[in-house]
Amino acid sequence: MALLQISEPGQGGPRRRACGIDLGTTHSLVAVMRDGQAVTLPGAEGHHRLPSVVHYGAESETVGWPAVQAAADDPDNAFFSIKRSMGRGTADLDDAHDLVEGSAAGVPRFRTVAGPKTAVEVSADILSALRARAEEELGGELDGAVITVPAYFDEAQRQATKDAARLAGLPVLRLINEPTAASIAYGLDQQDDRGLIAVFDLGGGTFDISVLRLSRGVFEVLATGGDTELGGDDLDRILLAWVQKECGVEEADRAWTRRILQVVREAREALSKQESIQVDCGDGRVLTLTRDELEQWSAPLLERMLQCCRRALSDAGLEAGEVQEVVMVGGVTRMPYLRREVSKFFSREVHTGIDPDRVVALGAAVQADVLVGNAQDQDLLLLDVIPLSLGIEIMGGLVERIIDRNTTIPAHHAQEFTTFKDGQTALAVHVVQGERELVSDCRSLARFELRDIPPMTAGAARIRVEYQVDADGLLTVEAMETVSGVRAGVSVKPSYGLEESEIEQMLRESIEHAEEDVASRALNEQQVEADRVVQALRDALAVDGDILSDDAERAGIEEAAKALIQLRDGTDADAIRTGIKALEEACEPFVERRMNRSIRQAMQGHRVEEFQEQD
Amino acid sequence: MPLELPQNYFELFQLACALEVDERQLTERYRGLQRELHPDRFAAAGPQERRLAAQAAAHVNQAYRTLNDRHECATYLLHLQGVTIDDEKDTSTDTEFLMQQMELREGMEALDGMPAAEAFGARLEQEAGALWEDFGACYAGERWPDAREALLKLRFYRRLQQQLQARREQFAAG
Repeated sequence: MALLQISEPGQGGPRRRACGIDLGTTHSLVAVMRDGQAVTLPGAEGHHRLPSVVHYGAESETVGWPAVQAAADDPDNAFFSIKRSMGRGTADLDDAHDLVEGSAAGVPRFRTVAGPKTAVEVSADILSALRARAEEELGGELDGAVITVPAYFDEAQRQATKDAARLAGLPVLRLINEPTAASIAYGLDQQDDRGLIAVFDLGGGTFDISVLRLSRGVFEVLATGGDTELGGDDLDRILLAWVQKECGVEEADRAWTRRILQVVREAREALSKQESIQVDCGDGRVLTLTRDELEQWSAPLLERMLQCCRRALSDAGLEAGEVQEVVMVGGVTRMPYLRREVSKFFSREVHTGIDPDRVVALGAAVQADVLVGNAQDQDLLLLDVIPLSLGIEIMGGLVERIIDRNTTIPAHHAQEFTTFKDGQTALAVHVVQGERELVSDCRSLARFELRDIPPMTAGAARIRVEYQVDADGLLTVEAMETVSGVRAGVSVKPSYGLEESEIEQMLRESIEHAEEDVASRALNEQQVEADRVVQALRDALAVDGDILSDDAERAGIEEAAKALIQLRDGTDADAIRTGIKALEEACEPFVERRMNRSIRQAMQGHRVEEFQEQD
Repeated sequence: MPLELPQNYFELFQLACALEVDERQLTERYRGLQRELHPDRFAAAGPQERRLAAQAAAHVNQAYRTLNDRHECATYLLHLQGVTIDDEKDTSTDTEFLMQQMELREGMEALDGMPAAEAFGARLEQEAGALWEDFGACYAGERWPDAREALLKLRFYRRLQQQLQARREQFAAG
């Protein structure tokens, strides 16, 4: 039948549309592949960098430069540096925005004239603007996107980023770490010799250091470190305090603060090229700032960064002198002072060839192109690590480590628990992230409630809990009572994140807001998913159709696929969802056999390599 | 797991079951497996396949991490012989050794700078080296309780070496 015709996967087919997105604290960028080269895309005003600023008006919202302008008159309804609030709770905020009354401790909701907004929704608006740029360039809906996050982002911050992408309607192939993306952009993988590379990434709001080993297209992150609350913004705040003191301003209002922050940021950037600058503070006050002063004030921040570098090197079991290449990322690394001191620390020249503002987005575009299946011949694989240890709460408020920081992901850990009461049917597991021994000193990630445990006498049940961290650094938990073989239901209550029902609610609201038809959007989503599943099956059968056990299995799969294709052209989104599920079930044994074939091939690959080595 | 992935870490990488692991081969084979099995290789595939790939990749990562670390590898070798060590509870009971450990700990606290730290590090390395030889001999002679004891003692040295590293960082930072 036509549906399951054999065709060579990924050949002759249309190029799939993919983009890389650098969702930054102060600026964001989107890049795509054009004629084999990664390029960043400009917006309507011609700027490539989109200020990560969103302004909510009563009528409409604006993102980027128009939002910056609108914010000058109406700072209360504008968001700057929203990335700092991603995956954070109310108690973590230093943002001056008013919170909505009764805002939960977990997910702060900010008051705007357009209604309450969470950091996830604000970020989704930035992502939507970037998605529009990419779709205009590529001429249609995206097949996949790679979004970068600071290497040091914890699980809640990553999950928040992924939730924002979902709200923005972006199909995320992968979250990758900013330093890893930067090293891809530098094409350092093209070198034949095995290189040890340090990526020093100072953005507006975050600092990351990653140590990677590159060998024939494999990017293996050995260790990562950083500080998600350390960036160029901190320098600007030091300068702001200086202006405030010099000008004798006692009570700084929000508009004044915003304006001065803008002025000092420009002054700071200018000092990368000149020795001193006049800072116009308004009301006829002009101050002089010299590069020497700026360097003096930067020194304590630099020391915090070098401290992170030392720890990352130590985790990787390396000395600074062993690093062969040093890559500088982030606009703030244009400061001659940073370049000089980092160069001194590693005892070598630093790479600054690619625009430090764009390098992350460019690398993300390369990776998106590979993952979406356009660059089949490109041998590029990222092996990343989890930046912070995962643990669970045990008696006395202590943490028991389950996965250590800098463990390569995907990672897996299994544990066995028992019940302590007769007839107990539920169990709660509190997962935290951090390096300290007390739960109260770590970040709370989520509480997992395991339900449906068969009632037994205390201590008789054996509950095997499995923690799986995927390639994006996101955690899932599964549990099974092993005596009865009953799978436990798991419900997740994220400590600083949105629950599934809240995201669905937001999706509905965003659709209503966009005046789209909710039902047609849901239908469209299921149709896209059905097409994806059928295409994946076609590709799989083309390569591995021979391992179907018999004609009955093929017939079963074909029947389910045919049913799905019919449903797909109908108008019932739920029916399509059910059809997808039915097809997946029909394919399960085939999928397992296929994976086992991959495993056998991978194992045999060993022998081929050995043979070559002996040549 | 329905996957036909060798559960034994040495078999997975097709290496001889021994403490002395050929690092180059281990790393080559690790990368070879990940090239085929990493979930990114299945980015366009269905969710089931991606889940299986994540399971396989996690197993390969765990195996690599274990064999790539001397302590973990030694613990795993004993585990394969049915000898287990509980990180939380088990410790050496050799009182003379424990006294010596206290003395070493005091020595560490008394360090006053990088040169002293370097000398102390050399001493730790030498003493740990002797214990590794001891472990090797016991393992070869299938004297499992003695091998286990040597490994428990080595854990003290690993902790001391970690602490020394932290001290050195303090000295380096000034």
